[in-house]
Amino acid sequence: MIIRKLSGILSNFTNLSRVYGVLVIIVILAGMVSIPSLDYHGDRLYPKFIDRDSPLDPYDRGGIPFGTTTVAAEYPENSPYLGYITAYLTPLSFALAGATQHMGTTIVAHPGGIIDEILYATRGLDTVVETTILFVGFAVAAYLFRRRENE
Amino acid sequence: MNAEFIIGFGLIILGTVATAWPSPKDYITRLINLELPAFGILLVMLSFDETIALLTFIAVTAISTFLFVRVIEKKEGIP
Amino acid sequence: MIDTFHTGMIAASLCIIIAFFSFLKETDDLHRLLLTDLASVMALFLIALVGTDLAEALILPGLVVTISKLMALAEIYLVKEGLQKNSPSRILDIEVLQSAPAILASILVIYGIILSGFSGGAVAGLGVIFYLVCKGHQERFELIETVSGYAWVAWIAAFFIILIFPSQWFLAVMIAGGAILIKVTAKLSLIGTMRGESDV
Repeated sequence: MIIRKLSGILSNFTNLSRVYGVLVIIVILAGMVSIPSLDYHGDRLYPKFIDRDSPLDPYDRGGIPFGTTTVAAEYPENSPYLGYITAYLTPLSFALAGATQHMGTTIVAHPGGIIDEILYATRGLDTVVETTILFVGFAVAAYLFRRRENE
Repeated sequence: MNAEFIIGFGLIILGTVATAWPSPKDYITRLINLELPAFGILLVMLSFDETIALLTFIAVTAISTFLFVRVIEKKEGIP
Repeated sequence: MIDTFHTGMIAASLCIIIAFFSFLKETDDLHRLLLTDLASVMALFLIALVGTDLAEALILPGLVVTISKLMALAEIYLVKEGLQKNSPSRILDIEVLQSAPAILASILVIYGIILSGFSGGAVAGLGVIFYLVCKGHQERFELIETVSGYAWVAWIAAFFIILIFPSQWFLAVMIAGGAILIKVTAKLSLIGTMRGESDV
């Protein structure tokens, strides 16, 4: 009887978002119970050292420009060239770093910064999946929008 | 725990409650209340020195507000 | 640090529960769409609590995926409810969207190109939106879509270069930086054209 009732609720697709909401709440409640047992391992996940006097300010991670940096990564054996991307500065960002103390963020957002290092070297195929979602979302929106124009 | 984190934290909690149950329950009120947790998360990012994430989040929030305004305008418009 | 992490986790969980409780009660689809945005803010809060550089590397693509997902959902909602032909009521007549000078747009685009990568794409895209909204537009959708498709392929190719031939990391990073800039800018400029008067 209960199973029949449940399957009746699940098969009605107007209830779909409600079922999803209930599932999320259950998962989060289970997560809340386990929070005190979680430990924070800040030293393993690309730790931060803030050097306020550097021209690369919140993103100075040491190392010499155009050389290598020693980077603390969880699986260094998977990326043999770890540290090269982080230390690389494009000529433009090198000039910026020499000229002013206040452009650290701009420099790091350039290709070749700590963000790119983590994205490409650490996250693996996850990056491909994510951009595929991005592309599909864009394609759906563009298709629907264009179809409206043609009518 | 510094001041930015505590303020941001409070804003996120207040903003979530305000967005979940807006007082006159219409789209515009909810959209405006949505800016509260967004501002809270900006302060939290600031307290962790996540500057690039902060800049991108500002840009993306502006765009998503823009998208919502467009949909709401269509919804309230005359057929 | 550990204290911050745990308090933050508990607060984020509470907020997610609040958001989804009101999601349960909601019957209107547009209200649900707004609550989806709230849920994505909560997810970003959870990631931001990690506080190291990894957090940022996770937040940036997350933001861009959020915006493209919202765009697709909003468009699907309009088609589903049959609202595309509605003439919009200007309930929220934002002055700056009508009269913002093109100079602001060019500053944003130039700064976005200097930044390049994810953030650059978002900043430059914002500039293009401002420009298209201010100046009106001729739709060149085929062009935007084609460019965006090629940029996507270039990015994936760059990624596989890093994965398979790590010694060529420099070439790959340069390709990826340029491609993702074009990709994100193109996608966001599509939003700019959506608001124009000619498509009402």
